[in-house]
Amino acid sequence: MTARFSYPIMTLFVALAALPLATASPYHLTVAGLALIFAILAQGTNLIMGTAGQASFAHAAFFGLGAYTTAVLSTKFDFPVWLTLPIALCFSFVVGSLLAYPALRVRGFYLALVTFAFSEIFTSVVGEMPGVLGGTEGISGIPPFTLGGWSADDRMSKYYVVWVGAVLAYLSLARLNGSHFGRVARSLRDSETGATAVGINLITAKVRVFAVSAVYMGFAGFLYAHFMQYISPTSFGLNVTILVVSMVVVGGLGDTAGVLVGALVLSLLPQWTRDYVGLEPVIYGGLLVVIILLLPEGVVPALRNTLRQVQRRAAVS
Amino acid sequence: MFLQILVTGTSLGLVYSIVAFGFQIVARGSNIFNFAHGEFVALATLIYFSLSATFELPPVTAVVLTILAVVLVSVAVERLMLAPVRVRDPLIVAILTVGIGTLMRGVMILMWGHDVLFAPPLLSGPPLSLANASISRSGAVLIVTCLAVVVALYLVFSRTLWGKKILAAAINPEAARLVGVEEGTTRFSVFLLAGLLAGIAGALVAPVTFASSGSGFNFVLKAFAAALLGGLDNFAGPLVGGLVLGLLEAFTAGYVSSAFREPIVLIFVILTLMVRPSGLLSGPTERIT
Repeated sequence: MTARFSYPIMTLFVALAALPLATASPYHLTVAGLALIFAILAQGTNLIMGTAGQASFAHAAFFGLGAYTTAVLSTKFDFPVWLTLPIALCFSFVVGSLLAYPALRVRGFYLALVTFAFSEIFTSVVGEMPGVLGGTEGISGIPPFTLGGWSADDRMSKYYVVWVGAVLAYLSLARLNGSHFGRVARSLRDSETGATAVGINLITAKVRVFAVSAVYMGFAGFLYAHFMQYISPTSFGLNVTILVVSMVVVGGLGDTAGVLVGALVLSLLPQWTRDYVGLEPVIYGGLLVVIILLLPEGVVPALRNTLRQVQRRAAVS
Repeated sequence: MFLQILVTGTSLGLVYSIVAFGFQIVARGSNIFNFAHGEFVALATLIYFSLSATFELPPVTAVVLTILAVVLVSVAVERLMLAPVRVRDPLIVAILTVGIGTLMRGVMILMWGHDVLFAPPLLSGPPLSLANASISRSGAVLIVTCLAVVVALYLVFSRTLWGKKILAAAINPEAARLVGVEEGTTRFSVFLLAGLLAGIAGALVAPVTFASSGSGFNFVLKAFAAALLGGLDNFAGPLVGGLVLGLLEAFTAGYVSSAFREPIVLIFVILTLMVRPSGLLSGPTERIT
C-alpha cells in the first residue's frame, strides 16, 4: 500500500518531462498539464478517502478554494504569485481543519452529507457573488506563474511549472504515506477503536488528515488558476467531484501510485471520446460501475498483481 | 405573504420527505448510502412529462405508468448493479451508487436533453384559495398524496410482515439473518419501495414545478439532509427533516435572500448536525473521543 518512488513512476515522470520535445502544440501541452493538475487533486482526495477511509466528498470545493484564493489575491489585490501560493495553502489548511470539526462529530453517512453540502455551499456562494468572486462569469486575466523577474508566459513554461508541482506533490505524498502520519491515517481506515487502543488521538489525527489533504487539493487549485488563467464556478462543481472519484477508484483506493496513473489516464479520456459529445456522464458513470463490480480494488493494483504473477511464473520456469 | 410561504414550504417539505423516506429505507435496510436516489426522482419527472405531454395520456394513467416504470428501473439497478457487488466496504458501495447516478443522468440527458420541461397539470381548474394564500389544484393533490403515502408507509412498517422484515434487517442484520431474513431479499425490497417513493414524488412534482434531467442532485442532497436532519434511525425522521428543510427554504427565499437560500439551508443543516449528530429526533449519542 505504501508508495515509494518506484521505477515505473519515475519513468512516467521523465516521459512527461520529455513531452514538449515530442509536441509543441499548445493544445497537447494544455491537456497534459491539466492531467498533471488532476493527478495532484486525485492524490489529495485519495489521502482522505482511500488512505484514511473517510467518506469525504469536499475535494472539488478545496480545489476551488485554492484556485479562488490565488485568483482573487492576484487579480483584485495585485499580490505577486510567489506570495499567493503560501497564502492559498495556509487557507486550505485552515478551512480543511475547520471542516474536520463537523467530521469529528459525525461519521459515515453523516460525514458524506456534510462534505457534499460544503461543496454545494462553495459553488453556490461563489456563483452568487459577482463582485470580488466574479459570480457565474468567473475570474479572467489571472497572471501566469511568476518568480522574481521571470514569468511563465508560454504554454511550455507553464507546463513545466505544473510538472514540477506534480513531482513535488507525488514525492511528498509518498514520504508522508511511509511516515508516522501515513500509518496513523491508515489506522483510521482500518479500525478507529484499534487506533485509540494504541494511543492515537483520533481528534488530532482526523484534523491533520483533513487539513493535509486539503492542502494538496488547494495546491492543485493554485496550479489550475495560473495554468488556465481563467476560473469559474463550473470548474469546481459536481462533475469535478465525480471525475476525481472515478480517478481514485480506477487507480485503486489508497494506492498513491495507482491513483496517479488513474488520474492521468482518465484525464485523457475526454480526448478520445471527443467525437461523442454529451456521452461523458454515461462513460464516467459506466466506468465506475463496471470497475467496482469487476475490479473493486482498482485497475492499477489488479494489473500490478497480474504482472507480478506473470513474473513469478517466468522465474519458476 | 406569510400564509402563502407556509403553503409553499409545506408542499416542498412534503416532497423532500417522500424522497428522504426512500433514501432512509435503503440506507437502513441495506446499509447503502444511495447517491443515485435523486436520479430516480428526476427520471420520474421526465417519464411523467413524456407520457402526459408527448403521448397525451390522462394524468392518472400517466402517474401510474410512471411509478411502474421507475419501480422497474430501481429493481433492475438493484439486481444488475448492486446484487453482484463483491465488496462490503460501505464507502466503495457509496461510490458505486455515485457511478450509477452519473450513468442514469447521462442516459436521461441523451434521451431528454438539458431543457427544463413543463408537464400538464394533474388536475385542471382555477387555483384553490384559502384566506390570502392560493395553491394550484395539482399542488393540493401533491400535499394530500404525500400525507397519504406517509400514513401508508407507517402501516407497512407497523402492520405487515414484509415491512417488519425490513425493519428487523435495519435494526440487527445478524439476528435478522438468523431468523431467515435474507440480505438479498431485503435489498430487493428496499429498492422496490425506494423506486415506488421516487416514482410518486417525481410524478407529483413534475406538473407542479418542472421536469429536468439535471434535478437529481438537488433531490438527493435534500433527501440526505432531510433524513439525517430528522434522524436516520427514527421513522418520523424524514418527515420532520423534510418539513423543516422545505419551510426553511421557503422562508429564507421569502424573507432573507432567494439567491442565498441554498447555502443558508445547508449551513443550518451542518450546524444542526454538529449540535445533534444523530438528528433532531434522536437523543445525544456517542462522541468520537
